[in-house]
Amino acid sequence: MDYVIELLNITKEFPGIKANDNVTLKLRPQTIHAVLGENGAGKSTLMSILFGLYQPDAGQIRVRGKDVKITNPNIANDFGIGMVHQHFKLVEEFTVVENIILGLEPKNKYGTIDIKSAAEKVAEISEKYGLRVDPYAKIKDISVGMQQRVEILKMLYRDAEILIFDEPTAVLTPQEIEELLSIMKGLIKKGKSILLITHKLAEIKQVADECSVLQKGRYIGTVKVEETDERQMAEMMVGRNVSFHVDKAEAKPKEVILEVRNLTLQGNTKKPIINDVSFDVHAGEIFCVAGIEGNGQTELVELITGLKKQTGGTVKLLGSEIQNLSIRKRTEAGIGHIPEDRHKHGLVLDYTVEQNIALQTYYKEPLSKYGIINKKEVRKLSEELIERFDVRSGKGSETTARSMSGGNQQKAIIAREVSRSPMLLIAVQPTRGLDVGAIEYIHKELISERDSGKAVLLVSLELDEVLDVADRIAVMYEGEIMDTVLSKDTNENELGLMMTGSRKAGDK
Amino acid sequence: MLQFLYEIFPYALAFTAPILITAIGGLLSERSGVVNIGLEGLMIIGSFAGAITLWAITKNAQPGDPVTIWMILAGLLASVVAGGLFSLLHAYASISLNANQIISGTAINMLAAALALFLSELITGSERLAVVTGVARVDVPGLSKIPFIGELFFTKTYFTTYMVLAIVFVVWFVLMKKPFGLRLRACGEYPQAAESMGINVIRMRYIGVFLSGCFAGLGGGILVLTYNGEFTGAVNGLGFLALATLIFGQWKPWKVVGASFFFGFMRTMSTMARVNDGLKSLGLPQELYKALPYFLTLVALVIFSKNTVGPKALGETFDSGKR
Amino acid sequence: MREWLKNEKTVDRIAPFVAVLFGLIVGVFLILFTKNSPIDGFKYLLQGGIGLKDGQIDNLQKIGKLLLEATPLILAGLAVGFSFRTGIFNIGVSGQMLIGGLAATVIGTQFEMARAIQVPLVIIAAGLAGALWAFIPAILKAKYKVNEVVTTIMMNYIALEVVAYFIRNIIQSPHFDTESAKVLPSATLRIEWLYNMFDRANLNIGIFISLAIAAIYAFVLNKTTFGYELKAVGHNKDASEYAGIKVNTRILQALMISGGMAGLAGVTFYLGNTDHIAIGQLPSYGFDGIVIALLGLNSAIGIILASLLLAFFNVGSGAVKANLVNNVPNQLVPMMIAVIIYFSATALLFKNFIKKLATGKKKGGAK
Repeated sequence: MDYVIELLNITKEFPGIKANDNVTLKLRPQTIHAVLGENGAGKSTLMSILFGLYQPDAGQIRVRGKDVKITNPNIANDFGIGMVHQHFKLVEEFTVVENIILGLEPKNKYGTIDIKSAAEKVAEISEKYGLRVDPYAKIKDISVGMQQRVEILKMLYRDAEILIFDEPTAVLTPQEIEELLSIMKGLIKKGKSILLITHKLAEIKQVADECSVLQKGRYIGTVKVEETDERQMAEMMVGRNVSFHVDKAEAKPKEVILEVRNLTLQGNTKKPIINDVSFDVHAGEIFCVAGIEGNGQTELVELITGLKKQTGGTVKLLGSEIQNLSIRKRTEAGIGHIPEDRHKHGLVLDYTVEQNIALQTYYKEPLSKYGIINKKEVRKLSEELIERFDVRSGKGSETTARSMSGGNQQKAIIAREVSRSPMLLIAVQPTRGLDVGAIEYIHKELISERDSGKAVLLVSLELDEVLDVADRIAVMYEGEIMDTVLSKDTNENELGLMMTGSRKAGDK
Repeated sequence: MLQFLYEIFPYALAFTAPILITAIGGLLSERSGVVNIGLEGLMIIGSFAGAITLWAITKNAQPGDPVTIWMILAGLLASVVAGGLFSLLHAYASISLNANQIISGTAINMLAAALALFLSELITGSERLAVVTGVARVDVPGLSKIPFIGELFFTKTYFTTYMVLAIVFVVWFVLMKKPFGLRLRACGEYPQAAESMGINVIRMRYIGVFLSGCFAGLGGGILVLTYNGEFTGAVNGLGFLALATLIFGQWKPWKVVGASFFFGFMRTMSTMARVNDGLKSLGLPQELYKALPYFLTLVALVIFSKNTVGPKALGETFDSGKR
Repeated sequence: MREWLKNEKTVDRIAPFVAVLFGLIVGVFLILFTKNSPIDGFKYLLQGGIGLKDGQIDNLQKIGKLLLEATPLILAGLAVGFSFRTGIFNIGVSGQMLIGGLAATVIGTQFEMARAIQVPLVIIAAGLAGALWAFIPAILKAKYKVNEVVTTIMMNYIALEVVAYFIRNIIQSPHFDTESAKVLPSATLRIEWLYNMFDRANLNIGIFISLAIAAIYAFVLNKTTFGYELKAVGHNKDASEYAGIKVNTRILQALMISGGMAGLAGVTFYLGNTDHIAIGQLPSYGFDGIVIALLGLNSAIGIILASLLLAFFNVGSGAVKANLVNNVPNQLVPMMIAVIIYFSATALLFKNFIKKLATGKKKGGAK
């Protein structure tokens, strides 16, 4: 048996898009095979086809050399295929064991669920593969890392031989990532085969044996990981030479625009979500808050923009305190905000482009007068910004935001926020889920804002982006700023250490 | 005081049964993830089916002919079947067609009331349908002799009340102990998780809604064959009271039992407020007793709002692509 | 044709017509089922609904009755539609209507004032009472995030008891235990010239109120910043908050405005269509309002048209029952309306069908 899984010439079309175009992927037994591609390259679609969630329009699936049809997840299970979803599919109110046995419950002689023997079996498996869990804990009470181990146990409980990991490290801390990668290596030693879907090159380099690359739904090729390097894989993924560096001139910081002092947010837990945070952002610089997801960056921005209320500390914009002002007052005082989640916060998806363009200014002249909206002025503004920021959509101003591509949605938001020329532009993960072209565009926009003398506060999880775009970098860990460094004086290793809680070398 | 309790308890128990069984039906639907505000309509359909069946059976009987337990059971069976079948309309709309569950439930209520009256008039010529002899009130042999408890729980009772309690026990057992229950609850909490474990969410939700129809139908049947004694095309908000009970009981079977008894007790106080000496001396308006359950449910909702109570995916249409 | 059908909006607009068509088809079957001629049925429906007999309308009484029936329907439909537009499901229109009607009836039976004062007073009181009744679910939603569907249902039944209390203790009719006294002539919404013009139909000021409210509804939602904010909140609360809109205040206002319109429906019904309020059932207008808002696609014009249609069915059904050879149960029209709401709820079914016609091929499962 050369391959346990063969996906041959798979094609899958959705209305308006070819998600998979003649894709071929072959997994050798007892290896880790990475599937690499940008967002929207078709990785998830391909895996969903293998897992039986979608049916391919053309192509063939082979499992252990035999042609098969996988029409639903149960059949995938029967073939020993299991999937760890990117967003965990765990019932929060259930215990670890209940989640693991769901759908395949052991019964005792009265026909009731035999929780005890189930827990024993779970304990046995977790022992064997080194996956520590507390079988009787409820999911809502355990850490993300342990939740992921539960997801893996679900597959092992079902005797899965072929494991699909869909972007498994996105939500983990570096320690948890290390642990996961070593668990994966342990799994293949014990006879399992793994498909690893990711866009993180370092992880591939660390654990994968082979790597197949997808680009915009097309299959680019498969390489042996030890015979290649990150740059080559990146080029395959993006389809051209990737300049890892963004061109920008030296920053010329001027006066302080944003002054944050002792900002604190106490949540329900003992430890504050934001703990005594202080920093300045100057005109003419890009100040970046880096860190692993969930260390308080989101809340920090919410405190500055007014979406949440601090329990202590001050925020000054251009010298005056704004921490007790309403969201709108802060916006008017000179904050532009490109939010983290453009569908949730950035856009009213059922509104048209022009209605979205007006979202921050509809109540002011000339867009409205005496509370009555002037539709002509709204259209004029919208047309102007669409032109200036190159927002592309089917029906121009009248297009519903929902029907636009992610990149153009983001451009519309940037158009709205930047065109108000705020003194402080806050951008939270502005490039998430976008393709390389759009990412470059957005980076250029941020830099040009900086060069025009504005202050830019960038929050990013991607170290590449942090190092490329930012002038100064503050690293957050568990609600605190570990340190602030100049981007030209630091590197990925140092940031990585700070992101996991150690202060800058020599600081102690 | 004791005398007052002895007087009111049998009525309160009788009143509790239809509310409780309907609420337990609602529990099964909502724990599977489907909001069912159509309980009122399903009760109406059940009460009509029960009444019309008994009417058909006893139509040609002579005065004085006994109504047997089998006739009553036939009536109740018809209630169950009718409620179950009718609930499939709600299931089809809200599960298969992803319709808004509130609108679909409202449609069920309107359709049920109209259809029951339409058929009643068509078949019998009248929109009202009296049940000549319904379920008899009996003292449970032996148990009714137990001091205090016997007087409260086993005197002047309908056998349907114990039937309902038995069903509640079975529901609790299946829901909390059997694999089926775990799967049903998973569908109400996180259907995508259930689906990824090979559970057919659509099917489970159909079963949940169907059972809610059966039980609400039974509730309507019990209502018309016990103390109401007449089909009038309405159940006077009892279906919505059952919904309140379900919420007040936090979607948990035994708490729902407690809540429905409490609410049943309030209803009984309301009807007795003007005739019972003890209640008359309190001087509280009868409307207060009747409104109290709804008011308390509002209060409970505020208290619950602090932490999530109830199925997480309740009311969401199931989209298997959603992550 | 296909291009036209591909337009999402067009499909949305066809859906109500299909729902009504299904309602009519069911009506035809029900009439057939009672061994009557459907053609006769619809003939009598027209006769009863708009007074059309032998191809002409001989007097305006039927039209008057139609408009009279449409009055509370329009307001109830606007109340529901307004809540829908702002992302709220106000299923408590019936209760708010009752409370509005109760406030107006209390003033209209217990006090006697100059007509020019009392009539505006009962109208304003009804609107305010309806809004206040909606305040409770509104504040629970805005402040505690409690789902308004359950709370408004609870409020309906509490309203029923409040009305019962008032009737039994304060405004009871001297003749009937379960009814209030009759509203004084100085407070009634009925006016002489309309009464004469429409040949003794009780058409009243209410019709002007409902049309005026409809106009304001359209204006506010389509032209004002307030409407823009309300709709934004309805579509996406988070984005609205991010944009500095006071989301909770808007939710509170929206549900109270909806309740206010329901209260106005109450005054037009209890002081116009009838002259008293009674213990017992919830007015069905609140639920008809849901049908109307769905059929009218929440637009003012649509709601007026849908109200007229429902009013036409309601008013016309009497003549159908009276004139057909074999007895037709009273519930013929309620059956049809219930079928219409069911098919409005399941509009997706035929929307997809229309789309299939339009694209001519199977729909894929895009994410």
